[in-house]
Parts: sequence; C-alpha cells; structure tokens
Amino acid sequence: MKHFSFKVVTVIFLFALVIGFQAFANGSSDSDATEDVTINIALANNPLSQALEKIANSKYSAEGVTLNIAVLPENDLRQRLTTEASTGGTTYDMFYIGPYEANNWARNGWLEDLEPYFDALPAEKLAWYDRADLIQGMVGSLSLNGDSYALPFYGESSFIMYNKELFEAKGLSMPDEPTWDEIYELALAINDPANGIVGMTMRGAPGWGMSGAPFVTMVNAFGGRFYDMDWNATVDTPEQRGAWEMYKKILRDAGQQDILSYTYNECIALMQSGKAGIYYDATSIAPPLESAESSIAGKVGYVMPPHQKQKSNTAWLWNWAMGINPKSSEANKEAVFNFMLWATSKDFINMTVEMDPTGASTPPASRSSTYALPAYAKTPYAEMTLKTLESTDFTKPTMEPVPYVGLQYIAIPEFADAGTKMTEYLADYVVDKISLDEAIRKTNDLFNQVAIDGDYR
Amino acid sequence: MKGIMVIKKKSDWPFLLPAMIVVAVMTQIPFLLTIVYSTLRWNLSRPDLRIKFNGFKNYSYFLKIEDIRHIPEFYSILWQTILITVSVLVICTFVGFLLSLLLDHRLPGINIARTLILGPFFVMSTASGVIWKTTILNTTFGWYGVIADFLGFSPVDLISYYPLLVIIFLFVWQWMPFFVLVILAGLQGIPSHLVDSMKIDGVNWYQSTFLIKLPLIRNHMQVAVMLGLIFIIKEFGLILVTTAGGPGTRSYTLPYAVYMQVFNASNVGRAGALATMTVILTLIVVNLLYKSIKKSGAMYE
Repeated sequence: MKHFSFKVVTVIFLFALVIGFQAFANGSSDSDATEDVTINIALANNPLSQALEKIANSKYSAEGVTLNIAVLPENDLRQRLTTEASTGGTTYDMFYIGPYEANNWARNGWLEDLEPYFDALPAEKLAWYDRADLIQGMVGSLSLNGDSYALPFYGESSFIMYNKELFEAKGLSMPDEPTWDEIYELALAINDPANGIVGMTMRGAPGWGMSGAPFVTMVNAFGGRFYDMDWNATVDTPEQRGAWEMYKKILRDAGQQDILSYTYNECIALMQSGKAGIYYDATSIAPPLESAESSIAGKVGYVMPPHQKQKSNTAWLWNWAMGINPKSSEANKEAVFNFMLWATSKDFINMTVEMDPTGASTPPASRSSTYALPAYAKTPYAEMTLKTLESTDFTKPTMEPVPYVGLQYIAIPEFADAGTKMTEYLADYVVDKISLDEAIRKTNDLFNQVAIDGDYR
Repeated sequence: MKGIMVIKKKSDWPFLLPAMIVVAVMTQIPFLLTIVYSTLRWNLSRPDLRIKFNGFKNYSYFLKIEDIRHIPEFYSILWQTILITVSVLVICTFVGFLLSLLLDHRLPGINIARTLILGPFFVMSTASGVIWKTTILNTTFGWYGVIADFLGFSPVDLISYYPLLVIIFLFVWQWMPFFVLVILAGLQGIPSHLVDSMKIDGVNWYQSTFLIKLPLIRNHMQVAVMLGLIFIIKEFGLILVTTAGGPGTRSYTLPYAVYMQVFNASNVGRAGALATMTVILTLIVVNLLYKSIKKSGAMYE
C-alpha cells in the first residue's frame, strides 16, 4: 500500500485486462476437479459476520474443502468485491453482498444463478434446507426474474435503541413512534458532556453504506427524494435541507465527539459502555447490546424508526447475502454452494442459539423459523425487529414518486460512488468545513452528473 | 550526466534490447495504456453502457471551471497535495538535520538511539495509521482522549477538524527517519581531520553546523529531498486508514483521488485522466527541483 502510485494503478489495469481476456477466452482454468479445494471468502466486519467466521472455522467440515476466510471493513469489502466482480477476478469464490449489489450484479452476469444448483440437490437435502422458510422479502431482494442469485445470511431493518437507565434517571420517556424532532429534543435532554454522557450516537464515517444508511432514511422521513421522475436531481428542496440540518444538529449538539470516525463498531462500543442515550441503527445491532460484554444488557428499549413528514416506511432494509463468483472453477463453485447452504441453514441457526443463548450470534431476519425458537423469541428486540421489517416497502421509498427503488440507497450502480461523495459533503458540512448551501449545491450537481453520465435521462 | 554509456559500435545495440524491452513493459506500456484509458468513457460498474471514445471529456470533467465561484474539486485536491508534500519535505529536512546532528555524537547507547529513531520507517504505513487513529488520537478510547480527560479539558477530534495537520504530522513521523538516515550518513562521512581543524580554529557551533557541515553534506540533503519528494507525493496508505480523505475531500491527495475513481467509482476513464495528470504534474515538479538543485550545486563548485 505504501508505494501505491499511478504505476501500480496502471499495472492493475493491465492485469485486470489480461485476466479479463483470459476469463473470456477459456471460461475457467480448472484442472482435475476432484482435488482438494480451498475456497476464499471475504466477510464484512460486523458482529454477526464475525460470529460466522468463528463458527465456520471451528465447526464447518466438508471433505476436501479448506475455508480461507478474511474479514474486511465494510467499505473496503464493497470496493474490493466490486472491482473483483467487474474485472472478472477470482480472488474470492464467494461474494458477500447485499441486495444493492445482488440486483445490479445479477443483471451484469457477475453472479452465478443458483437455480441449477438447487435443481441438482437431492430431495432429502432440499427438504433439510427448506427454502420456503427463508423470509420471502429477503429472497426477493436477491432475485432477478424469479431466480435466486444469492442466499440471505441475515437481514436487518433499522430502529431506535435507547438506554432505559439514562432515560429513567432524567425522568424522560420514549414515544413508541417518535419523530425526528422528538428524538432531537430527547437527545439534547440526555446529553451531558460533563459526565461523559452522549445524547445520541449515529454513524458519522462517510460511505454510502456507512453514514449514508441512516442519513438517506432520514431524507425519506423528511419527505425528500433524490430524483424526480425525469431523473432531474432534487436535492435542493426544503425537505432535503431539513434532513441535512437535522443530521448535523443531532450529532453536533448531542452526538459523539469524533463524529466522523464513528462507524457502527464505535457506536456499538459507546452504547455498550452505557455512555450514550439513543442510538439509531440496524436492528442487527441489538444483539451485541444485549450480549454478555455489554454493560447495558437488559436495559435497552427498542422503538420504531423515527418519522417526520413521511409517517411510515422510514426504516431501511438490508441483508448480507452470499453469492457465487461465476468466474471461479466448477469445483470451487460447488464447494461454495455447499458452504452457503450450511451457513444459511436452520442447523446453523440452532447451533448459534445453543452456543450463545442471548441470541447475539444468531443471524436474524433470514428465516421465519428463527422467530419460533423459544430461546430467540424472548429476546427483547425480536418483536420490534419483525415489526420494522414488516413496515418497510423497498419499492416506494419516498413520499413523492421516484424513478428508483431502494430505501437507504438508490439501486443504480453509480450510487456506490455518488452516495459516498454525498456523505463526504455531509461530513464536510457537519464539521463546518462547508456551508449547507454549498453542500446541497455540490450534491445536486453530483446527482445531475450521475444521471447524465449513466444515460438515465 | 557524465556517466552515460556510449555505444561504440552499431552492432552493439541488440544487446541493449532485452533491457529496453523490460523497461518498456514495466513502465512505458502501462503508462501508455493509462493515456488510452483516459480518453474512454468506461465505467466498470455499467457493462451495459458501451465503452466509447470520449475525447478529452474526462480531462475537462476535472479541469473545466464553469463558474469562478465554484472551482472544481480537482484544484483543491491539487493544492492539498502540494501543501502536504512541501510542508512534509521542509519539516523533514530541517528537523531531520537537527536530529542527525544530535545523533552524530559518540555517546554510550547512541547506537540504540539511532535504531530507535528509525522505528517509524519500518512500520507499514497502514499499520501505523491504524495505531495512530484508534489507540492514540481517538477522543474517547485513545491516549489523547484519556490524557485530555485527566487534565480536565475536552479533546477536539483532530482527524475531523484538522485533517491536513494530522496527515502532515503522520507523514513527518513516518518519513523523518529516512531523512535522518541519509543526512546522518553524510555527517558521518565528514573527514575527522576537518572536524579536528575546525576545533583548532575555534569555530563556534553555528559556524561549524551551518557554514561548514551543511555545505559538506549538501549532496546527501539533495538525495534525501529528491527521494523524499518521490515517496511522499505518492504516499497513500496512511491517508486511507486515518482520514480516508475526509472530511469531504479535505485530505484527498491526487493518488488517493485516483484510487477512489477506480475502486469506488469504477470509472476507468476518469481515473486514467486523473492518473495521467498526476504523472505530468509530478514530472514537472521533479524536473524543477532537479534543475534548482543543479543550479545551487553550480554555485558551490
């Protein structure tokens, strides 16, 4: 990394080109497929994926298959896998992605169609796996024309988590369906820098899947949208401005000190330490808050994601899913498919509940049967997780009609870049490096440019 | 330039061919390809859009100033790159020289001190970046936060509010040992009879340091500055792991911007254009520096 330079970039281009051509020329270069295979997998560094890494390394066994699992920060993982998929690389045999990628990539032929693999499964294995038990909304978000291209490992929506102890100490109460204004007032009331208490914490680190996730749902809640039906950027509206101001207000007046270096991992640590009042993030964050190492286990309240002008559908919807790299060798593909079946099976879920009865390692929102497990159903967040999941409609994200789908993102390939740039402007604005007018203008220009570059208009 | 080999016979040149081919493949062809890419509309994430010739549109995307009040980001990134590189070079040279003077003494344990001061140079820049960011500069969990807490003032998040200062500081921390290494070698190469006669003539510290030693190690300084420039201008890992170019694009440098264009935007065409401009600008700066060094060299000789 140290001597990264233009030359390295050009060399990478060259390599990518050569590898690309090679892949087109002869498909794949597998030798005798019965040999032992090593499958390379990269996972994100969120708590549940890390749990998967641990369990897989100690428990997964398949004849002749060696697992090689890397865990990367989410932003890096996205960049690497996107480069890998778009250039036809074979560093990773399994793609660990979300619906945003699954949708675009399936269309581009960067993911293997899973239906032939399911067709080839023996009946008893198919019955053991029980595809119908997978939550259909999640499966749908990973499909194209009815064919599955990835299997959901875990899913999430978003909601408000709050520290009941801090609320009681101040005599405050959290409404069941709060507005952003109410959340702001409560955060201010809780905030107590002298005693190291932060009113509210949210992701501040830029990245479309980082601060972009809470922020875009905030824009949706305020009634904003990013494009009108003719793909004209609509960032410069009072609704959007309201969301930008609210995001800054909360973090500056009642948020963590080093706003911009906070990914969800830092937010979780802060919340676990009992030093934060409110936390808006993914429903999959709740288990670590209730785990043994959390000082606030059993003292966390959960309510619906905040709304404002738009009354419902203000949560986000996401899952982490597993797909097969179509450029890998046949033997590797087969091995990856079997690993995916194992990791998304009921057996895996049962195993996690046995290992960790608090449910902190159990992947949520992938299978309906998870919520019927006695140990899991009584976790304090199970009910609210299901409720927020049911409240989302991924096809109608905003109050006014838009030409795109996606709740915390816009499901176009360019959003990975544009969304990240937007959050960079947002970060700039939050720490007063640029004014709101400038941030809004730059973002509006950016989204217009995307529409032009991508031939959307 | 005296050392250039002269080809004596015409029949000799085929022997140079393998070396020429290696050099061309290693350096020139990738660069030529980059120039070709820079003229294409090519977004890797949109295989449905045809790759097509785009003329200089990728360049004008970065360079065109439509409205004087809204200068494109390229210029601020360029300015940041220059600011970071120049400040790091100046600080490294000056402080590196002083540190070398300090280390150029025969004292017990001086070898340990010399080894220790080289430490940062041997740590991978990404690793040192992560350590600085999370265990030192973090305002809640880091030493900085704990010490500030202990002293009773509330710590400012340096990475968000003073990104350039943090980057410059970390670059200096990382590259200072390199300067010390080269300059110290120069100081130790000063013949001992010169030092002895300096003492006999009774020159004071200022005279011996700046009027005698400094001119003597001028060559070493030049090497340090030249190599330092080439290393620092393309330094990338530290930025990636500490500020990630942020907030906004406040600590982007040109290499980091190229990286983001390829790996975040998947936009090969624009990345090519940006990379080409980076190369051209670097070549200009290195040449200017080289010329000025030659000039100042002529002054002394």
